[in-house]
Amino acid sequence: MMSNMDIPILVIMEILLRLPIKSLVRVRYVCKTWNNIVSDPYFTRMHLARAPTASLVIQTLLSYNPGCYSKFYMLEHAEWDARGHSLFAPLKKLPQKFYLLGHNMILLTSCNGLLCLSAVRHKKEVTCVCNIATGEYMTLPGAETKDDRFWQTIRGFGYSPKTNEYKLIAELALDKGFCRPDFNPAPRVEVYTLGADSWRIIGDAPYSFVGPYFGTFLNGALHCLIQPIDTTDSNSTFICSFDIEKEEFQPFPGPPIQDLGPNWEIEHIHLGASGGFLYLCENYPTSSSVDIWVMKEYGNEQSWMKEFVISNTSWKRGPVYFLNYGMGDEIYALRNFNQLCAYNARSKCFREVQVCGIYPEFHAIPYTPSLVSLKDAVAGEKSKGHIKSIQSLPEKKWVKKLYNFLLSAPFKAEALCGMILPPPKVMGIRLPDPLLRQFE
Amino acid sequence: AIQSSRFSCVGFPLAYIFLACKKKSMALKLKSSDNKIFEVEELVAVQSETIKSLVEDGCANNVIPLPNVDSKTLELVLDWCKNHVDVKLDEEKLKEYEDKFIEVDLAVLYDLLMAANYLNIKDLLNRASQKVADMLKGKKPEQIRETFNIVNDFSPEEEEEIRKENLWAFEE
Repeated sequence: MMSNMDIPILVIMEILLRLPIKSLVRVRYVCKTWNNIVSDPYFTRMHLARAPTASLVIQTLLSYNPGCYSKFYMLEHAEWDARGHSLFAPLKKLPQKFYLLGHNMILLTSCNGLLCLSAVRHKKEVTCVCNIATGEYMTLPGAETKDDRFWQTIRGFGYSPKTNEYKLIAELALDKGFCRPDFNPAPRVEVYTLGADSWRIIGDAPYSFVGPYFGTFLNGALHCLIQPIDTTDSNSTFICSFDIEKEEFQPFPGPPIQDLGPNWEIEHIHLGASGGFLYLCENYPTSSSVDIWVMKEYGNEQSWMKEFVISNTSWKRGPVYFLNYGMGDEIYALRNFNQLCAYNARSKCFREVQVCGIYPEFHAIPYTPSLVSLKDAVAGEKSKGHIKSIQSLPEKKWVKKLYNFLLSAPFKAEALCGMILPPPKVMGIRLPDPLLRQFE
Repeated sequence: AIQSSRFSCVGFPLAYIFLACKKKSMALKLKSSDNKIFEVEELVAVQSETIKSLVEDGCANNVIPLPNVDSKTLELVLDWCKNHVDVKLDEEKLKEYEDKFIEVDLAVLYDLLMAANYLNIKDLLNRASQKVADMLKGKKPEQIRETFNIVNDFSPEEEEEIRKENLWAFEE
């Protein structure tokens, strides 16, 4: 009855566009027509555009060894939008043999389903970009400097729809150990176009970046919290946008929040995007609530509105990422990279959400799974050779056995392994704040 | 300023006539594939973009033949349209209606999908597609083929090849 012949392709597309990523990968095997539809880059872009909600990539952390013996999971949004639940079990194993990418893996940031992470491979720290769903990955070249006093920090990952290019931006700054604490030179900015042979230095940043967080990608630009380089400057700009296509910094209008003063701290504000809106989370230690501002109309300073005021002290620490703003009353948020919670905008009720079935200590980042192929994402034909499949990475038998042993052991034993095995050398890796606390 | 006022002078009576026609809402005659005639109000029928463009082109004076839709399906579709004329309808009630409407067996769902596509009724197409998508979720390819009567045109080698690349999607 519903054979391939008599359903128009457009109707099949209309149906398949509504599937979550796991089902989408499965239906590729139904028949060739469906496989062709799903593999088409145009379909992939449409599917991505329909799914503005973020899912999560979760990395469990064993006490002393972040990234070393950790396991990766993906929590797809489609699986947990059931209302009123406080417990989410349907956690899937991360699609690919992720652990083969290297040791000490740290999830950095993501854009359109492409995940950027750092790992140690052959005793060298490398940055990789991979798509979890397609299993492709590529290793990025090192920073464009020979001077090892300079430290490269990735600041964001964005996409230019006009040129179909993905770009990473990074800051090259003199290591704090090599300069006086009061000396704060302008950081250099490097750009890497996905597929290029090397990073490009585009000049000095007109501002200094604040905190360890990544820029928020929205509407073809990255948005970062910044401070003027000269701290005596009374300029009130504290957000800048970086146009991915033009590679230019611009001041960006922020909400009329409390006066930040010259030495404001990152812990107190956090910028993010969800459902196509930019938002700013404000939690001052002096205030008893967390205020969330939403920019209702992109780029319009007057449109910043104080949307929620959440009086709950457990939101006080760390940044808050909204996962499904604008998709109904029930808003899910990831707080401090390790706690899922839900806020009901109508009843103003707040509840914690448990992720069960995994080791309770974890580090998670928002992630929108997609079938965007790295082959379509890289610029230039030549660079397609750099793309490899995670599936094809060599796997040593004993490593696999050890890995499986560690993962099959009950959680207590897992934690024990973490304590007995020596902490890995973490020199040369800048850890995100919550990870750093693991070493204190 | 002069120009715009002139326009509004002309526009006002035109709009008035237009509204008057709308209020009265002419009845349209639709003919299904099995030659049954359905008489419906224009407001109901023009939710189908296909019929709307026929009306706008002035081709709707006689009976509109719909050779791709049978009477059973057309009746359902028109019922959907009647319930979607008044957009100000209680949101919850509308959702309740839609949920009940779409609880049909696969054959009917298929007819609805094809009719919604042919008649170009956006919200019905969306709702029906969502229903089919919900049915596909979590199913194995074999189950999908069986349910939807789709022929597997992969060779066993081809199938094995792609399956190996995406083992994760098949883990329960």
